[in-house]
Amino acid sequence: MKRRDFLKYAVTLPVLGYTKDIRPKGNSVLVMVELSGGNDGLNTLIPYSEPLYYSLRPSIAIPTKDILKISKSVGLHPSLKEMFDIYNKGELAIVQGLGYPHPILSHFRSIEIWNRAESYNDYFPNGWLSTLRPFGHNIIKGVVTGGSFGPLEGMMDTIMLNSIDRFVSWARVSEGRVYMQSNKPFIDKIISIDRDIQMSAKLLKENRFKNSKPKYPFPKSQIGREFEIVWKIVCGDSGVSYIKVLQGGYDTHINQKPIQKRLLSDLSKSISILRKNLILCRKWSDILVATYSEFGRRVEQNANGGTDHGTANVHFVTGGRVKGGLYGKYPSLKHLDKNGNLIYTTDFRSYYNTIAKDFLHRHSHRVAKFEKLGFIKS
Amino acid sequence: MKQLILKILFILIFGNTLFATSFSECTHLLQKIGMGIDEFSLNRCTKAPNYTQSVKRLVTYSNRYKTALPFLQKYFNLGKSYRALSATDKIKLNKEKGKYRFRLKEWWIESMLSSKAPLKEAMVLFWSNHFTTKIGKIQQPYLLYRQNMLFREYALGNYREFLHKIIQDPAMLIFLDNRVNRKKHPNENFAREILELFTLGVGNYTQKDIVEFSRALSGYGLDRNMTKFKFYRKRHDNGIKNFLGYEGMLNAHQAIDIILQKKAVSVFVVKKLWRYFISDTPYMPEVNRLAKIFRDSNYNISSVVEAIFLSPYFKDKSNSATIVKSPIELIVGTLRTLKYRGYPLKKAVIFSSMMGQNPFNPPNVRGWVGGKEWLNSHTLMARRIFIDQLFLKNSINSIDNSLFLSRGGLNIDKAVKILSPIELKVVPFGNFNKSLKSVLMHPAYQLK
Repeated sequence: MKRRDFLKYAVTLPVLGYTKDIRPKGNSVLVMVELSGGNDGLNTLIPYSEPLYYSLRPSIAIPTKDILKISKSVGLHPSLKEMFDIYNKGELAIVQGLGYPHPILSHFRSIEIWNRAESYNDYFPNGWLSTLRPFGHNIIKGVVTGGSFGPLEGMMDTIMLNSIDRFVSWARVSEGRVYMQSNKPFIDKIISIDRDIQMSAKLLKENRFKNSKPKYPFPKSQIGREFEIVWKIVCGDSGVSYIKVLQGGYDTHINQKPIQKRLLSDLSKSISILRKNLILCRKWSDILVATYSEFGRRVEQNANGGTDHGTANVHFVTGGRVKGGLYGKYPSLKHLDKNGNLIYTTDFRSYYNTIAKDFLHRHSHRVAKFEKLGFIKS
Repeated sequence: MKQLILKILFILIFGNTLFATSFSECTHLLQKIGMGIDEFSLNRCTKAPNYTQSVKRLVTYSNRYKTALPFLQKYFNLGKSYRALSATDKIKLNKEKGKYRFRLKEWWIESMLSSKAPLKEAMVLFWSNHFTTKIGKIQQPYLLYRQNMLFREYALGNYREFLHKIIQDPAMLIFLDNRVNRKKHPNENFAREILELFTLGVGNYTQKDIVEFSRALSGYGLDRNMTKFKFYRKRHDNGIKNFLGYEGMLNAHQAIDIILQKKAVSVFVVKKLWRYFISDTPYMPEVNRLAKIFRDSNYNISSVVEAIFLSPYFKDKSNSATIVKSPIELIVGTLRTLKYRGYPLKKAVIFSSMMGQNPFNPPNVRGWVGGKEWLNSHTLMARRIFIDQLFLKNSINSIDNSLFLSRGGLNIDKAVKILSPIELKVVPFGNFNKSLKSVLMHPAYQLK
C-alpha cells in the first residue's frame, strides 16, 4: 500500500509564546487603498481649462464653478473637500497620469498588474509588497480589511481582519489545533493560517484601542469601518507594517455622477477622520495612505451618463511625512490611444518606488529602476 | 462440479452486490460534487453494477430532477409610481425589498438542502458563478429567481442553447448594462465579459472584436417594466461587422455561434469545470481531450461532466483534498451529510457571507475565484465557528448520525470515509460526537 496521509489528530499543545519587546517602535505603516472598479480620474482631478473635457463629457462634466481649484488647469471634484483641505495644509500629494505601457482594459488582469507591479506581459507569483525585506520581527506583518490580498498576496504573517473583537473571540476555535504537515498544499495552508490566527489573536487582545471609540467618529460606510480598524491597529501599536483597505463601486458604466459623488465624498471624509484621529495618538507621521485602482476611465462619456474602461489615472498619497503638491503631468486629452483612452505620462511603478524607497526605506527589484517622484519629505 | 454449480448460483444470487460500485468510489464522487453525502445518492451509487453506471445514472437523474422549491412571485413598484411615493413609503418599500432579497437567498439554500440531486445543485452553483449577477444592481430581485430557474433548466443541458438564452436574460442584461447598449451609443460591458469570462477567455480576441460584438448586441434590451426581454430593432446596429475573422450583418445570436466555432470556448469551460471538480491545476492534455468531447457532443454539458467523472484524473486519489470547498459547499454539504434538522436558513446565509460567499452577491463579474482565495484568517475562523456551533448542547440533538451506522453501532471509521477526503486516524474520545467533531474540524474537511 502507498504511503498515505495518516494525520494524527487532536494533540493539544500550548501555543508557542512570543516576547513583547521584539515589536519595533516607531513603525512605518503603509495603507494601500484600492478604489475597486476603476475610478474615473478625469472627474477626480479635473482638467477644467481643457475645452475637450467639456465637449467630450456633455452630461457628466463637473461645472467649472464647483471645482476645488488646485492650479490654473486642474482642480478636485467638489466631493473631495476634506482632502482639498489636507492638500492646502501641504500633506496631500496628487500624482497624475499614472499608467503602464500596453494598457489592459480587463478589470482582473489590470488590477493584477497593479497588485504585482508587473508589466503587461509579466506574470509574477505574488503582490509587490510581499517581496520587500521585512521590518524586525513583526508578529503580524500585514492586515487586509477588505477585498483580496492584492499587493500583500503571498506575504507571511498576514491576516484578514473584519473586526478586532470578533477576531479575538473567534480565535478560540483554532486554539490548540496542531496538525501534521501533509503532501496536500491546502492542508498546509490551513495549518499556517491556524498559526497566524493564534499569534495574531494574542497580539490583538493586548491592543489598547480595541474597545476604544474614536474621538472623531468614522463614516458608517464600508471604507469608514475599515478605516476604523486601521486607526485601532495603528494607534494601538500592533506593529503592523502593511494594511490594505478596499473601497468598491467605481465601475461606473451607467449614471456615474451620483455614484462617484457619493464614493469620493465617503473616501474624502474617511481619510480626513483617520488623519484627525491619528494626530491625536501621534501616529500621523508614521503612516502613509496611498490609493490605487485598476485603471481610469474613457475620456468620452458613453450614452448612459457613464464611462467605459480607460487607462491613465490620478492617485492620492497622504500622511505626516508627505510633501504635498501636484506630481507628474496631466495626460493630453488631444492625443489619445486607438481606443480613445489617455496615454499615461508616469509609470505607476515610479509611484510605488517612491513609496518603497522614501517611505519604507526598502528596495523593491520590481520597481527600483523607475524614477522616484519625491512626494515624501526627506 | 458441484462446487462450480454452487459458485454460479452464488454469483446469480449475490452478483448484484459483488459487482457493484465500491463504497469509496461513491464517497469520492459525491465528495467531489460538493453537496455533501446523502443516503439516497449514496445508495443509488453503490447499487449500480459498476462505476461507469453509477456516473451515468447520477448525471441522467440530476438532469431530469426538478429541484427548485416554489418562491413567491413579486415585482416591486418602480419608475414613475415609485417616484410618486412619499418618503416614508419609499423607505417601507425598500425595507420590504431587502427582506424579499434575503428570503431569496434563503430559498436558494433551502433548495440545495432539500434536493435529491446533488449534482444538479452543484451545477446550478457552478453556472451562477459563471454567468454572474450581483443582486444589488437588479432592482427586481424576482429576476434573479428566474435566472436561477434558467440555470436549473440548463444545468446539465446544452451550452449553446444556454448561451442563446443568457443573452436574453433580464437580470444579465441589467447587470452588464446591455439594456442601454444602442446603435448610436454602444456599451461594451456585456460584449467584453461574454468574451473574457463566459466563452473564450483573455487572449483569444481583440479590443476590436469587443467593439464589433457590442454592436451585434445593441438593441437587446428589456421592456418598459424591466421584467422581460425585448429586442429593439431601431436600436440595433444592422451594419456589417468584422468579428473574430467573420464579416457580415451579424446579430448577437449569430455572433454567439461564431464564438462557439472557436476551440478556445470548450477549453475555457472544461478548465473551469476541472477547477470545480478535480483540482486547482488542470492538466492540459486531458483538458484538451475533454474539450473535444464537449465540442463533439455539440456542447452537451451532461456529456462533458460525465466524461470528467470518468476521467482517470478525477478518480485518482491523489486528486483528493485538492479543492477548497466554497462556503456554500461547506455549509450545505455538512448539513446534508449530518441530516441536520431545521437549521435556521437565516443563519446559513449569514455564515456563508461571513465566510466570503454572500449568495447572489459575488464580489464582481468574475465571480468568486475560489482556491486559496477562500482561505484567510477571518474566513477560516468563520468556517470553524460554523462547525463548532453544530456541536453545542442546544444544537447537537438536531444531528442525525444514521449515515455513520454500521453493524448496529455508530462507527467513526465509516464517518471518516464519508466525510474526509483523506484518511485520518482519529484519537478516540469515547464519545462519538466528539470524535465526529474532530473530523469536521480537521483542515482536510475544508477540502474536497
